[in-house]
This record gives sequence, C-alpha cells and structure tokens, in this order.
Amino acid sequence: MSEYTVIGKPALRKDSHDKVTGSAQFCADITLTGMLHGAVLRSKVPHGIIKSIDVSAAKEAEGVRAVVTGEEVPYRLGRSIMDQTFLAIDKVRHEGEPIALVAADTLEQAYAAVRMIKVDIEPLPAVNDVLEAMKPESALVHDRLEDYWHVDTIRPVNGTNIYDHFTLRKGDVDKAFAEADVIVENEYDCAILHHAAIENHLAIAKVDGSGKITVWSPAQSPYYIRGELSRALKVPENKIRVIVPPIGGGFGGKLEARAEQLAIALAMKTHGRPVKVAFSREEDFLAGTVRAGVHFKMRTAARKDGKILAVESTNWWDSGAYSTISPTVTLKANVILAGPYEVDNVKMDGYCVATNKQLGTAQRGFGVAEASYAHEQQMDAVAKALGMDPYELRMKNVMVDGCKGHTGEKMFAVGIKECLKEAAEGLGWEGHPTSWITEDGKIRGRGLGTFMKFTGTPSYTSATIKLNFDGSAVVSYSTTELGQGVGIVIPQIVAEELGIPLELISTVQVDTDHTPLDKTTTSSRATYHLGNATIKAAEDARRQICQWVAFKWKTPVERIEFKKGGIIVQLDEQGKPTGKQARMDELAKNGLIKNGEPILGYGSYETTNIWHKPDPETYQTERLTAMWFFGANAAEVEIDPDTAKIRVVKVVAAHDIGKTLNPLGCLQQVEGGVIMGIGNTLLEEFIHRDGYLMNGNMVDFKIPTSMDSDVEIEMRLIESSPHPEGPYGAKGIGEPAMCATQSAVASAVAHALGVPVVHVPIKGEHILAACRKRLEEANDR
Amino acid sequence: MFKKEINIMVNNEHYVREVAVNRTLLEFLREDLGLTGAKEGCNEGECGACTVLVDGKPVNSCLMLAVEADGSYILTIEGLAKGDLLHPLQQAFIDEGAVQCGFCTPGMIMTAKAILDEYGNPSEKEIRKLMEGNLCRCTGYTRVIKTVKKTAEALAAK
Ligand code: FES
Ligand code: FES
Repeated sequence: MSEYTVIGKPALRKDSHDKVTGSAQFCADITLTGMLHGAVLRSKVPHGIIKSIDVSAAKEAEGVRAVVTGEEVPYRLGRSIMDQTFLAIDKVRHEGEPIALVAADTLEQAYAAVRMIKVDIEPLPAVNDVLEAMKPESALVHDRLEDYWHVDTIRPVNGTNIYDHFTLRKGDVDKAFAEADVIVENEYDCAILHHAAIENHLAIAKVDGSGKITVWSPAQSPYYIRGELSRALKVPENKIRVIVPPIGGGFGGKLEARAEQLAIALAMKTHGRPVKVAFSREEDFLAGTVRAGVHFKMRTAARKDGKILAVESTNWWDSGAYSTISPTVTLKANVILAGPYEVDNVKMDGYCVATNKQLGTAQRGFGVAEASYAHEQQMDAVAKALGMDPYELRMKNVMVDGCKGHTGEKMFAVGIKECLKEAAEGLGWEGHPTSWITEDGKIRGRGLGTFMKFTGTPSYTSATIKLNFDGSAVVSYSTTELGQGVGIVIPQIVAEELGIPLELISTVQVDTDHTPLDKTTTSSRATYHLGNATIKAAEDARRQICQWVAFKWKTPVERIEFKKGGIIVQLDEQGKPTGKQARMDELAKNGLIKNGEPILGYGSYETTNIWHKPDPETYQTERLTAMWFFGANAAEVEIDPDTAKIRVVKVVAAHDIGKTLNPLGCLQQVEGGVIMGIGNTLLEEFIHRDGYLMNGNMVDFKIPTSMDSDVEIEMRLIESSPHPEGPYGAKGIGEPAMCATQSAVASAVAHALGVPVVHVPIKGEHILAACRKRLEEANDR
Repeated sequence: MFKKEINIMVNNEHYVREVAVNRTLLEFLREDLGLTGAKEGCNEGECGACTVLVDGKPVNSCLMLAVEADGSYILTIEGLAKGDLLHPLQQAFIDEGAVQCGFCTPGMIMTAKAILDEYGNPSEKEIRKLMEGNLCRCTGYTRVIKTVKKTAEALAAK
C-alpha cells in the first residue's frame, strides 16, 4: 500500500468545468464599466530613425480619448539590461515595435485614428543575422549599450551588439584535445520560433485617482511583471496590482510585459477609465516574444574507449532588438551544453546578441532543448567516429551521484542513467539497427536525446491555507496556472497533509494585492518550490488546529496528536489514545473548529541559502541550484524518400521526476511537450529577410495540428532518484518532455540518413539529397 | 457603418438585432450578446478557437459576417449543456484530462460535437483529420482525440 492517500494518484483539474462550458473568463472576455479600447501604431521597418510623428489628426478623430507617443512615456523596461522603452523614441529596432497609441470608445475608432498618425522613418540597414551582428563593421542595434543600467551578473560589450558574453571554464580543455583519440567538430543552427499560445498577448489597465495602477493580464509571472513595471515607472510596488485571469497558454511567451505597459501608458491619460489593449495574431508574432535563434560551434574530444574528455563551444543567441531575459537563456544553455555526462574539461563561450528582429527570450526549456540538440548530435558523431553504439557511448559517460558537474559542484539525485536505460528499452534499442528501409521503401531511424536542466536559484515562493468553519479550505499562492496543472497538484498536497477531501479544497485567482509573494512561474519550478511552501503552510495550519482543539478539549497541547490522514487524537498522560478523536474530513459534522480562532496556515520556501554565487569567469561553484533534473527521450522516425516528409512514429519519454504527485498531470505535460517539441523540430521557423518577418501568420508559421500528432507516446516516470529536498522527493516536469524531444528526433533523422542534422527545424529541402543517397546505398548492397 | 437587421436563434433564444454589416459573427456573439465562450485566436480562420455551429455545421465565426448568419440557428459552447447536465463531450473532456489551458477547448468541443452528429462513430484517424482546423498548443491533441473517440463509442453503444 502506498504511504500516501492523495499524492501519487491521478487527480482531475479543478478548472476544467469552467473551461468546457465557456464560462471561464479569460482576459479577452473581461469588459469593465467605461472601458476604452487601445490600438497600436507599429513600425513597418525593422530599423530606422524616427524623423517625426504627427498625431494631430488622430487626436481630433471621433471617439478618441487619448493618444500617446514615446516621449510622453520614457520609462525603461529590462530584466537584464534596461534597454527597452514603452514606445520607440528616436529609433525603431524591430518590425512591429510600438511607436504610438490611441484609446477610443470603440476598437474601430481606435484603429481609424491610428491610421491617421503620420510617422516619418528613415530606414537604416537592418542587422539580420547573429554572425553578421558580431562583425566589427556591423550596424549597431543599440548605439550605446553602456548608457543602460544592467544587472551585475552580465557583461554587455560596449560598441558591439553583445548584450552578454557568458563564460564557463572547467579543467584544461587544450590539454584534453591534445590527448584525444578523436575530435568531432560541427556547427548547428536553431531557427527563431514563436511560442504560439492560442491566446495572444493582451492587458487591461486602470489608473485610479490616487495613482494606483491595476492591470489584468495573462501574465505568467505577475510579481515579475509588477517588479518590472515598478522599476520602470518608479512607482512603489504597492501602487501596482496585477490580477491574472485564466491564461490561454504561456510556454515562456507570457513572461515579459508586452501589452501591459501599453495599456498603462494609455490609462495614465484616461482619468480612471480602464483601457484594453489586445494584440492581433499578427501583432503577437511581430511584437510578442520568440524563442531566440542560435548558432552553435561545437568541438568534442574523446578517447578510443568512448570516454568524453572535453567539450568546447562558442555559440551566438539571436536575442533580437531588446535583451529581456535572454542573457539567462544563454547562461542556462551553456551551463549544460556538455550534456548530462561526466566531462572533466569544459569551455563555453555564449554570446547573447542584438539583432533587428523579434525579442528572443525564454521558451519552455530556457535554451536547454536547443543545447540538448547540439550536444546529442555531437554524441552521435563521436559514436560514429568510434564505431560505437550511440546508447553505449552515452551510458558510458552519463553523470552519476557524487560526480563533479560542469559547474564543479558535487551532483546528487542524478537520475539520468535510469532515464536513458528506460527510454532505450521502451523503443527496444538493443540489437536493433538505428537505420533501415521498410518493406514499402521508407527510411526509418532511431535516435536518443538526453538533457539536464537546473531550476533558477535563488528563488522564493509562499502559500497560505485558510480553513473555513465548514471544513473546506482555500489555498492561495501566486504561481500561475498555465495549463500545467499547478491548480490541482497544490490542492492534492493540502489534502494529503491535512486530511481534507480534495473536492473541499479550492484555489484563488492570482492577484498581487492578495495572493502571497512568488518569484516566477518558469523553470519547472512550481511543484518543487510551491509544493515545499504548501507543506510548510499545512504544518502551520496543523499546529494552529492542535492549539485550538487542545483548548476545546481542555487538554494540554502536547497530548493532542495530529495523525496522518487528518485524525486528531487525544492522548492520556502515558501518551496512549484516550479514545476521544475527531476527523478532519468531518469538520462540517463535528463542528470542531466552528466559531473558533480562525486558522490560516502560512508557509514559504526560498533557496538563497543553498545557492553559492558562481565565479563570473569560470562559472564554477559549490552549488548552483536547488534542483537538477534529467531526462531522456528515444524516438523513431520514418522518412518518405520521395517527399522527404518526416513522420515521428514513436517517442518514449523517460523523466527523472523524483516522485510522481499527479500521474495524469504528468502525462498531460509529457504528451503536450512531446508534440510541441516535434513542432519545434520539424515545422516551426521564423523566416526573415533584411529584418522583415516573412511568415508572421498561422498559415505560414506552422505549428502541429491533430494530423501531426499521430505519434505513439510512452511515458516512463523515473522515481529512483528522489530529491532529498523536494516535496515527497518530487522534481519538475513542465519542461522535460520538450527538452529532449528535439534532440531525440534530430538524432533519429541523423541516424536514418547517416548525416548529421545541422539545422532545426529539419525541412524537406535539407534532407532530400541525403534521402536519395541513403536509398542508393541500400540498393547497392 | 451600414447596419442591417438580423433575425437569429442562438442557443435556443431568439434575437432580432441591428448589426453593422462588417461585424463578424464572432464579434456579434462576444460583444453584442456577451457570449464569450467562443475565442479569438487568429481572426483569420486558422486556429478554430472561434468555432460555433451554424445550422449544425462547424464554422469559424471570425470568418463569417453576422449578417450572413441571418435566419440561422447558432449553437455556441454556452448552449451545449442541458441546464446543469453537461453534454457527454464536455463531461468526457473533464474526465479524460483533455483540457489544459482551455483556450482552445470551446472550439474543440463544438467541432467534436459536429463530427459526432454527422458521422456517429468515426475512426480515430477520421477524427484527427476532421479536427485538423482546431489548433491546440498545450495538449498535443493525444488526449483530445482519445476523448472524442471514447465519447463517440459510448454514444454509439447507447
Ligand atoms: S479566431 Fe477564428 S479561426 Fe482563429
Ligand atoms: S488546452 Fe491550451 S490551447 Fe488547447
């Protein structure tokens, strides 16, 4: 029998009923009294100098209540570098950058007025490519990076397009390469792509008479947005309130403020009337955020017996016109770019680079999916060079407990070996070829992808549990529900800890004025961090309950015991049960806490203490993160040699989850993540010409449809390496399935065709020649 | 803008309304009638989040003008349940975990309803094909397709 009653059992989400009936009110569904509609004038060119803006006609247009241009709102945003103003001032740096705003009684009027604004822009040459951007003769996206404030953990290079240069140094790479039996050198590219949540960016803002700003927005991380806005506007945080309606998908795309600042800029001029600014799909593509493109140069050194001696890389991340959180993406990818393998010598140089394109930022995985693709292609190339089985090579090198990680720290709770074993087993790897031709002439291939990732540290979160007299409970926190299922896992924990039935536990809409402090909803961190905070809140509630019951039963509190499953027992002086007891799931009936001292449990979790600041040059440290997590996917693909169309047949996803809290939630994450990963690998790509986006719509930017999802997905949750500090041993599952899908599919294609995959997404035109060659080879035999 | 009177049934209620001739059915439903269940994801007929049934057929309501729906019977997600009794598809979407962020869900369910009405008990493959116009970024479709198939089977068995 399981030691838990609720934890580890599948539980249904609490918000589904609302969502299947259409009654869930997303941000777009909210209409406030007196609400005005905002529209945005956006730059048509990717780079240029604003010579003049004439808004006089727009101001006089019918229904118009406010018009705003850049100079009126010279506030700067930027988590890493404060390089972004609300609206362009003097210069535009990407196609779609907001230049001016209009609020009017109706949306039609707002758009009509926007069309009356005359803006004269002198185009400048656009920086279209990261490698081009690195050249000394390149045009500069930001003339003077040094003028902007930046966090002290990054190193912008003045007079260049470099937002940050990240470095990691471990061991002696040169020596290792000199001693190597084989050296494998390759370059890889990942295209820019869009998160493409089905809900676009939007926000409603209201500024009341006292100057208090209220924002309704599907912000993934409302406290992060509040902090950003507070710093930009120089307004104290208690003067900004962010209310989060249900979110129509995030995936990292809703981390940064996009529509929020525009709605606020207008609302500051509408005398208390709220203003809604909603992006169209086209605006979302142009002016939301994207997953940065990246170009990797990779070198790997290995010994004859398969031991990886060294990994070295220089890589350039196309972070677009403003830096946002992209230096963190560069960092996270570079820290793990040698893969979940024990490697004594590592040298990484990651450049976070400005171009005149969309803002490259976090996407589910924070750069790890891209990095995993690069390190796994390298592993396959090494295996080929050595004539070794790709699985064996990986198994020989995987990290184990106690080994030294890439950051020099001693690793623990390392589940990669088990994951890799299970993933390969799920596909039937042993003794099976990695490339073969089917009877109907299709090319099949099998591949492996592993990853490791760390959760952002230091970090913090908190939760409260309020007990109602009828025995129901309300748990509040500010980690947002993006569809990932935090809204069910946390009630499960409360139910487990307090013995209150799951159906009597509800959650609260996230609202920075009411729900407790939280850093972000990113990094697969919700279960781990908030889970720990919730356990502590439950502990606090239990303590209060015991106090109250002691008073009621006229018993010293030491003789009240709160037993697992929520049974409160009175003990005699010898510590034996007296027979008097009450159950938490019967509070409505037994009235135990009715009209008593209100019970409000509080718990927090933060990871400052366990974090050791890494050395800025080498990035070596004693402990980098609260949690490392690992995973491996194995994939089988089938390629039609006539059309070069790639079909993913099967994916086995084995993830080092530590402890499964809600298997159904995990399955949802894995299935969704695998298909999204397949989309990233085979379909999704922003195409730019001279900084202009050529495919900013859902027809030309393809995401997977139900037709692309006919993939056999097998999930294997690995619990052999529970996290000693995680709730019940749990780690995260939000990103893993994504992180290793791209690499596994690319590995399968590379094996199928016998050539490395050097560009993702893998398009037919890249592999058509290789398909022919593969068939010819087969026929020659 | 030029206006026209339309005469329309929505979820069993009869409306006679003046609408601008360029107003889409989606705008009419969401803004004029306050039925915000159908969502806008693209406004160009690509995502299916705005799917409603017009005389029983699934339609991207962002592509249809309200005046074109004059004289039609419209069913939106709000009209699917019978009072408190959810439609079997709605119940199955909950029970099978086919909902994540839920933004695509109303459109998905309406398309699925049209499929079941028209085809009875189609194969998984057919369902996949017929639901191609409804995009979802969260679920990877796996659970959605299974849910529709399971519901179709259950209804066919009745
Ligand atoms: S909003 Fe109608 S199809 Fe996307
Ligand atoms: S559930 Fe989020 S888009 Fe489908």
